[in-house]
Amino acid sequence: MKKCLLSFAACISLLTMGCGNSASENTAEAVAQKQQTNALLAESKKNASEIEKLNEQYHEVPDERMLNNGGQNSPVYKELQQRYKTQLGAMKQSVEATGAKFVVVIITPEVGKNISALTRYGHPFIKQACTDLGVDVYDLSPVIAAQDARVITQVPRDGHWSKKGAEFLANQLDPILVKYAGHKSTKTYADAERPETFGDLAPSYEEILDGGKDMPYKVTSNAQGLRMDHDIKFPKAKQHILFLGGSQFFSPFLDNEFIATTLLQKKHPEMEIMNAAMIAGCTDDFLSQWEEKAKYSEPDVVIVQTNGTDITDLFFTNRNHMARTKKPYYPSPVEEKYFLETYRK
Amino acid sequence: MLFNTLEFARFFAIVFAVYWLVARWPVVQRVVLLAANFYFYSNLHYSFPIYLGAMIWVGYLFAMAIDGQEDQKKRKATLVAGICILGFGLTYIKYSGLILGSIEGLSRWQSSALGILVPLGISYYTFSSIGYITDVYRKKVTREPDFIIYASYISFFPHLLSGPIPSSATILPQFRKPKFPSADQIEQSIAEIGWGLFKKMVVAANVEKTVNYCYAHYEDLNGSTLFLGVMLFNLYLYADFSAYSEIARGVGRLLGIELTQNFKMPFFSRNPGEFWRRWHTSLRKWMLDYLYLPLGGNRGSKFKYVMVMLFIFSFSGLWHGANMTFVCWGLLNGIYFLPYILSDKLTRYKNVVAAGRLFPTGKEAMQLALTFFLVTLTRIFFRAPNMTVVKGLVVKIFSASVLEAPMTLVLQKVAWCIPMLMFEWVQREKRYVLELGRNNMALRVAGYLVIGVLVYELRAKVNASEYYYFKF
Repeated sequence: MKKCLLSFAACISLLTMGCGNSASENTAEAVAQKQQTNALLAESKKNASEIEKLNEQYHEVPDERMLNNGGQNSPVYKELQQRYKTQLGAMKQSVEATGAKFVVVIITPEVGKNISALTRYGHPFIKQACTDLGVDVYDLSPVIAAQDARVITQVPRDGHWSKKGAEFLANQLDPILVKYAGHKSTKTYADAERPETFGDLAPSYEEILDGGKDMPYKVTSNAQGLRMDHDIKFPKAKQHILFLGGSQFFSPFLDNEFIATTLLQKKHPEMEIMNAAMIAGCTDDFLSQWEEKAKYSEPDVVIVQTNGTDITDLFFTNRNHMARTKKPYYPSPVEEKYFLETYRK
Repeated sequence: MLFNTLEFARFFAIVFAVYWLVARWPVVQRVVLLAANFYFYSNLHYSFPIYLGAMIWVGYLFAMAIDGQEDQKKRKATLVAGICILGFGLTYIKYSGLILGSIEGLSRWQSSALGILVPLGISYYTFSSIGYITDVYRKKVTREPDFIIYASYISFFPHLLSGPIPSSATILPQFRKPKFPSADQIEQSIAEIGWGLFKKMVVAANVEKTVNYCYAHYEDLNGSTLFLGVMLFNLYLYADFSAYSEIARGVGRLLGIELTQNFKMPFFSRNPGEFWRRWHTSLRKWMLDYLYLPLGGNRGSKFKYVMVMLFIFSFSGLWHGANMTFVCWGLLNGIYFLPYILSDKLTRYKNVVAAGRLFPTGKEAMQLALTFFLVTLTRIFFRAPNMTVVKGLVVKIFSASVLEAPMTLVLQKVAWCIPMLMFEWVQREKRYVLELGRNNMALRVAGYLVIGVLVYELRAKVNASEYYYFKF
């Protein structure tokens, strides 16, 4: 009998470790919530099926080679540039509607003289677009390019920041924070309006990841799904700085304590540094993330990380594979023409 | 093709069906098995079967040459030549980097040597081949004249990559006329495969990254976290390696071949001697038969006995890898034996601990804990990539920071291993872990279903990683 009980306890402890609580109260509110969830699930299922169809039909995702042989002048790249600019404009408008300051920082971990075509053609365009839109832009790529890749990144194993690189990045971002130190937004939200999370990480998440590269690192999120170790409190008592961006802000292969935003937080305890960055994100993702959840963190300054990859990442096949929204992206006539000429000849 | 993948399940289903469908034609059945073995191996890399094929031919021809000799001296010379050739192949492929790299001025050779792709499982089938020709020399087994039977035995896919290292006296004859498994054997196979999948996919896969994290970030972590990390590696290694062995046994039995039981619940050992009688038993038996006994074993003075033991463990360390860390790991294990050798207590405890009781006595519990602790310390050397990391880990673990609170995440991961240990403790007197009530079919079926559900629900949501012992 004791043996049976012990075995039963072992099974139960395992099940409780792996499964969360699924109990819910059978109230009218719960029923309504269930109906809403079912509707969302149905839509999500429909979208997933549509994306699957599109991915089968249009499987390939173009990379830097899109810009080979004069590709920077091609209609498809021009269209993606325009799309990028439109999204940046929409984001600026939405951010500034809250009274927050919208700032763009160009960051790419490319080092040395052999910069990629994505940077060569992308960065001048981004800077010009920001100027046209009246957005403050800081291009950190030249100062990064002058560094030693073996020091600031984890090459040869991976091109993302090393501990030294994160320190370097924090030092580059620091003057930008100081510059906007006095800026205050005007928009506030009631607690009931706020979504469960402001970032895309699961709330209060702590796990070891390795990116499939045997480079283990610990990711910790706060209760609001941001890559940081403490929760954001409301009404806010400090200036809120929100970092939106891709892996350059997320910093895979480094524990929370070593990433640039944590270092900045230590340096500026008078500010609330909020890291909502995601791996493999682009402006399309930052915009949807902002609208859906990040804006409810009531930032006073929003710093968006971008680079030339964000332009080509807007190609519809990339979006269908990578976008966080999981909605189908259909090709424009120009994109379809490019796709067929490139991959179906 | 890993055991815990759908790809393997499909492969095995086809092999199982075809293998038994053609059972009435033994030659065809053997060819089917040999083809399956080589297909399985080629799936890892196209070049691997070439080396395996060469090793099989060498073993086969030398066994023939030894068997054909009447003159004892010539037989011995042929055996030595065979061992040298097989050993040279293994040494060149696996150890040339270490050997050439340690000699100054040979950097040109070193670079070419390091470029060699080491076939997975090479140590296992080299040892199997050496064991076989030695047994033929000793007339412990009759030489296998049928090349296909011999080749199937060496290349048998369930034991090819990670053992158990087969014993030619007990395993080879089974390949001559494999018998369709009985209902009891089929059930035992299912149970062993199920438990193996649980240990690999639920326990090992869920803790693997945390182990890697602890060893990679030893400079940033405190002593208590690192000690837990090393302990977790000890548990992970057991879960991973014993899982492979159990699945291999289950799969082998379904093909009519009963492989050696490689693990006999080693964490329930009362001293290091007992631990080594329960851990990786097929390697231990190989060392015993082909090194320990020829070197004199425990005959002669205690000093000689100790030297033999230290040599065996150092050799075992080198078998695991061409790295000082493995040599130190082996030596440390050998040193653990010294007090027991000197007090003639090494071979105590041949029965199961606390037999017939649910809980151990206080003394037994202390013995179990001490043995586990000692084994855990050896894992510092076993997993660390170099001696710098070993030093870093030892300094931290034996510092005041071992009294600080450990990282919660690492503590939580240790919890994944506890149900495995609890269940194995309860079942430690059974033939296999999932042997549940012989006369109660409903209980058995329920048990298998629970394990199936647990594997499905709790499996780590990551890509299937290789089994740790493949690299050896």
